[in-house]
Amino acid sequence: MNDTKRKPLNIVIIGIGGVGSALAYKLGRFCQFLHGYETTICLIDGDTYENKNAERQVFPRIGNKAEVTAQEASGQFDHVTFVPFGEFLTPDNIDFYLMEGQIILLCVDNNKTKRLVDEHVSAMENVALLSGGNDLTDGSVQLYLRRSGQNRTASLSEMHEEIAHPKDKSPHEMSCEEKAAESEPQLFFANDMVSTLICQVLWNLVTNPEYAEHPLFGEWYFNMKTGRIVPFPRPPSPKPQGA
Amino acid sequence: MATHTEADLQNKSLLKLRQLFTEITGNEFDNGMDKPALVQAILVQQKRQVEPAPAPAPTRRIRNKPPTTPATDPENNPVDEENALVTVTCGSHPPTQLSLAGKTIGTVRRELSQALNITTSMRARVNGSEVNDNYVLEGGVILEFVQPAGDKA
Repeated sequence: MNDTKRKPLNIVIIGIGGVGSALAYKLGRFCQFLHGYETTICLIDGDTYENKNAERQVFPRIGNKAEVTAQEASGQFDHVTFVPFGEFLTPDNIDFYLMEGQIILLCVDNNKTKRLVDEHVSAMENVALLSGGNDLTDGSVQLYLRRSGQNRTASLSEMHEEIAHPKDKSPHEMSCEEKAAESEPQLFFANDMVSTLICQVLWNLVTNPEYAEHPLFGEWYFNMKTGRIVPFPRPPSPKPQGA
Repeated sequence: MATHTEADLQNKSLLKLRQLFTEITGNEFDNGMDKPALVQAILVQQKRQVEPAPAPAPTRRIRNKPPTTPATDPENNPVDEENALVTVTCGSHPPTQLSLAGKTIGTVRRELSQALNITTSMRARVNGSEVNDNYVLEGGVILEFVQPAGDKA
């Protein structure tokens, strides 16, 4: 393959938990065999793998989640460049990590970081933000797409009150005790479902130019108990009514 | 048609409830609707059928578009069931058509809270536009109660 003709594909995964770590390996495999692209996957997380994570995540050793995952994934997918950043995303470093043209995969468990990224993206020209999360047996994925400085789908805050006005803290603001108290039971399958839905959207963005400009849907909800996935169009919001 | 009480409905099988709902509404429901949701939906439909046409809304606020027909007195002009249908969605629940025209968002939120797991904090959107709880529904629109995004990862 002629390397000079390969286009850059810059993916950023924020949060290397059950969803983010699954994404690193799935996207590593996809990008390893994706012709015509030079892929870089940045992994951002300040958290450390602990034994309790083994229920939902694969990691060969204890250590920073971004660094351990990048090292492990690099060994499996040598055509993809994995770049770890072992710190949490904050207002102070977001300009350094998030840039034009990226596909940003937001896999965090706090609304404050979602709001931070959502606001940052809203000032960018060309970017795709995919945010995914789950509860025990259900969850959702939202696509916030901007092209030529315009919203092509609604932002996270436009759709979600809890993200527009977060009541929680970012991990960099929390003590160890607070982080430990945050832990709630999760199913590996729910994490995996979120990551698969994100992959589905990302695949469309990368391989379908029409979809990358005008996606039909902007949010997907799933429920493992009913086996249902429901997509919703999310056109950029008109002015609120009845307010 | 016989009116069923909540206790009657609770004693029926899921299959029977599905048949009953289809009979009452003409809507086909898939397997995703669980028993409490079906019971609630049947009760809502029954109430709609035995009640007189909805009274004029006390606080008719901003609409998506101006009405295309002259205003009529709903007391004397019962809402045509076909034209009163509103498609309601919430999260992964299947989109459902219910006769809700003339009701406020707040009323629908209360009536369907159990069936669709709607909470007071969920934003309501009609045809994609955010509306408040005083907004009065018209037939033919799509009403979504926006389920919060999954919050763990």
